[in-house]
Amino acid sequence: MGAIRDVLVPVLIGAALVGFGCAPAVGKEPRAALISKEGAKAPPSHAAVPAAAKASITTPKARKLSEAEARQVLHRLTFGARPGEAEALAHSGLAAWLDEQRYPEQMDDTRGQLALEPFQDALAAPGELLGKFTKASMMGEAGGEPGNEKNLNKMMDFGRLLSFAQMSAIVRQTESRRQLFEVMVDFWSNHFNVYARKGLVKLLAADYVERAIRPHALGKFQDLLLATAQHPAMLVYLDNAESTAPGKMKVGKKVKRGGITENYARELLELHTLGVDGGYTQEDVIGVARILTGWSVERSGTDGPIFKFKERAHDRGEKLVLGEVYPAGGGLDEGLLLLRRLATDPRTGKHLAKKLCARLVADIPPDSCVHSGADAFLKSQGDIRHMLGAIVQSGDFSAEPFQLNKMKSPLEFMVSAIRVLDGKIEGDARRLAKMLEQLGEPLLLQAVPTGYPEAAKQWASAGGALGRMNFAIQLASGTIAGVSVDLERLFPRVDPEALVADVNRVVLSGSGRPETLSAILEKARESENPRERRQVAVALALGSPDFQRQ
Amino acid sequence: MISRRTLLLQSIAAGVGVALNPGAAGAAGAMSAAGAGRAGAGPKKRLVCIFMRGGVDGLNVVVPYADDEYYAVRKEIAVPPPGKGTGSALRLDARFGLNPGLSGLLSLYQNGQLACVHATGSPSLTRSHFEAQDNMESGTPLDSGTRDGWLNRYMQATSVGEVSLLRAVSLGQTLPRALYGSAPAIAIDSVEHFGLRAPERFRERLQSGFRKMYESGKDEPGMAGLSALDTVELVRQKTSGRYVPENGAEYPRSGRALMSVARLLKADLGVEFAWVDVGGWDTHANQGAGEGQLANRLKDLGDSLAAFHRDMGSRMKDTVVVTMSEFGRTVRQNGTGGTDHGHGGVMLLMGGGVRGGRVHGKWPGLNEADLHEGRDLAVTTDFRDVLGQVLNRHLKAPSLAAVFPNPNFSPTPGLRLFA
Repeated sequence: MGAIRDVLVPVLIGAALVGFGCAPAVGKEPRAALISKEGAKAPPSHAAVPAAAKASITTPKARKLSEAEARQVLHRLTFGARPGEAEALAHSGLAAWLDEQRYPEQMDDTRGQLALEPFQDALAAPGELLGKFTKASMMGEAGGEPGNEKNLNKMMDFGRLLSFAQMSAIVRQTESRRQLFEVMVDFWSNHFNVYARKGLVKLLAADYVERAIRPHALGKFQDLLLATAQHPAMLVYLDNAESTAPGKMKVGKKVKRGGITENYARELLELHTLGVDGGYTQEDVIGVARILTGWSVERSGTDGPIFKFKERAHDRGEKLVLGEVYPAGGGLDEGLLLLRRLATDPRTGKHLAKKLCARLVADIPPDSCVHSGADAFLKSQGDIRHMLGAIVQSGDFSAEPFQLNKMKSPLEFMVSAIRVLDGKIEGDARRLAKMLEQLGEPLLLQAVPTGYPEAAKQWASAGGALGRMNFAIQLASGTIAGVSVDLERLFPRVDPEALVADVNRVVLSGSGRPETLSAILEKARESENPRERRQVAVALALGSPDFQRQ
Repeated sequence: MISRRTLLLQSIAAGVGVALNPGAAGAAGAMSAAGAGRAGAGPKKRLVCIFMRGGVDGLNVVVPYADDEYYAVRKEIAVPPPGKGTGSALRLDARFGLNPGLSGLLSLYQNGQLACVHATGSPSLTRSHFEAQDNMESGTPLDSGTRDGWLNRYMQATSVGEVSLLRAVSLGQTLPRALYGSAPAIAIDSVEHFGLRAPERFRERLQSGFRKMYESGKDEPGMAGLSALDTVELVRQKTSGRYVPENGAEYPRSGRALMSVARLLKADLGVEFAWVDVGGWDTHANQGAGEGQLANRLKDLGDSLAAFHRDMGSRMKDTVVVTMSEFGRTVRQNGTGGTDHGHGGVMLLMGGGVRGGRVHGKWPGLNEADLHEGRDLAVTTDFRDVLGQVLNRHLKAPSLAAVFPNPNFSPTPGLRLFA
């Protein structure tokens, strides 16, 4: 356990608080923000650092990882280990691995890029989507306004767009080398959930993940919060786009009666920042909603719907939120101030640390680990990299009670199954997105703002177990369109004992229980044909209770 | 064949397992798929719960058309009084009318098969979906520390001997909070496609292989997998062929879950409790009145319930359907033609022994002084009062002490929901 505790003490010395709203995206942040234990300034360029020097910056006492520690890292910080990755991690050590993973933009990711190509269209700006996802029956018709929903419903193939958007996430999780980054993108997409079947969100959901979540998934929390708050997908999903100051208002030629909607304001406090025990009141919710009146969407631009602060819809009266007065006459700026305060509030840090630890350590996370994360949040003004570092280096992370103690979510199950078999997604594999829906976790389609649950008790159902066994059978039989696995290459030895040993090592990261292994052995022996034997052994391993844990 | 095997729920060694409900650890109970046979002992009483997730606007479901204040604060979204043109309410009595989207249920109300309980809800003051649902489903609305759900606690308190693994079924991918706990419950997404999908030549090999490894797994995924394998065998035996609803019942497309409930209830599988989640009630914007978004959602639900009633036929005398939602919505419409999270709402009861044809409950009124926190319909009947009567009077529960352990509510005087 020592190895993990010793690395990456994220001491932040004088890291300038990046200006709100104009922070550089991940990757442009100067690495100088990270300083080693010895107090030496990190060199300005990552590429220029010799490997040995790099290691010494973060891990003066690097030692070999135990098999269990390496397994823990790959289970929690990636979507599952491809063959050879555990060995590579053990060889390079945790520090070097983490260092690389925390700066994903500096990693070569040709494979991930290539796999993404077939679904790339979904990531275009919303204004360009109509041209790329025109209904077959509407080909050749005139385009029209990208923000006009009626027009879009008539012209656009939203089913195809949604499946492309879902697949863009799945292929990256499966194929990209930037695994920690993809894990965090999934975490934040869920934390800042939007629902792609509500109104214009269906046009905006992919853009939301691409341009609000991904640039900040390993950056500063306040940049992430602001990006989500101002993204039209969130503004539409939680209705803030329509929330206005009370009173009558001219909208075009019509006079509309205005008023606030509390939806976004409440979820902002409860789910996105302070947490349900954050000590806010109904009055605070109303105050937040009033401050954010006018945070809306311009629907008719040529680039598609974009954020717009509608001055006339804004409530210019005085507000009181969490004991802070927002004087009368404020505009967009008071919303920015509110978000900045929320984004750096210690209660927010605690709430986020608790959620991160629930994902990375245990469904009911140990207090010490939550404290480490919350503390790092405070010290770094909400730097996500630092929080991650603190949680991973907390003694809890790979402590024995927290090994193999979490149940995989359907997404984690599906992607890890493909990865352990070194499967490749090629071409149109949209069936995967559908199968994930049947397993209970369709991406971008969680209607409630809480996102998908983390705890095992929410996923452990007989129906879900059956779905997983069926996915295991289909993946091992090679019958999922667009997904190829080569069991013959992966398992050259067909002698039942040798095969089961290899399956245990490759699929179950060497941790299969004796009961599981003996069941696989028995059924492998009953299978004469080598091809069938491999399929049966692998299907049983992937569908086993052991593989559902991580 | 189903083996007559008995499994004991075991607590997971501290620290190794995750999240197995600590409450479940002490409450080990025997269960077996073979318990389904018990259903032959006579018609069992059944309960179908429908949770309307998102907080349904009770005031536009059962419309207080005689209350002037209702029209004063809902200029655009009030459902017109009975007989006032398109989209007007369907008269229930001198005070209330049904949203016309629920027209499928009107005759059931008139025949005494359907009852409404107005101004019901939870004493919990939260307006968070998550918390309010949690509070309601735990059955301990003022104590968020309860790990198991009210329905599961009822099942625990009433399991004697061997109990069917299908005693409680949730139609969907996951179990609702109300069914968390040590008593067995299963989520079934589709009755038709239930089972291992593998080539015939090695399906049996996989099935027995999985069984062998899951029989020894005592953690959550292990228990879930074993339930799956047992249930597959049982459901295979009891539901073969295409399902044809009886009495000419026609379910709308959105009514598949209730159709599956009917199929499972008829199949002698030992199903006593069925749970269906219905979403789409969080109408913050453009909810409409007698027509529009909410009315359309209600039409789907009403037509499904009516089809279920018809399909079940005489079996409805042993079956009760109850609807609930985490909270009602603000009395006054908001700035976007919708309503925000509120407090009191409405519950519907249908089927065996229900004193139907009535709107039960004490109407608190809609004048500002009568409202909860000056904005929401007050709660005059605790939801546990309603569910308690369902358990007591319909299911003949010997005691509710275990189900609602801290009954910190006063029963509504004169509330008699069952004959």
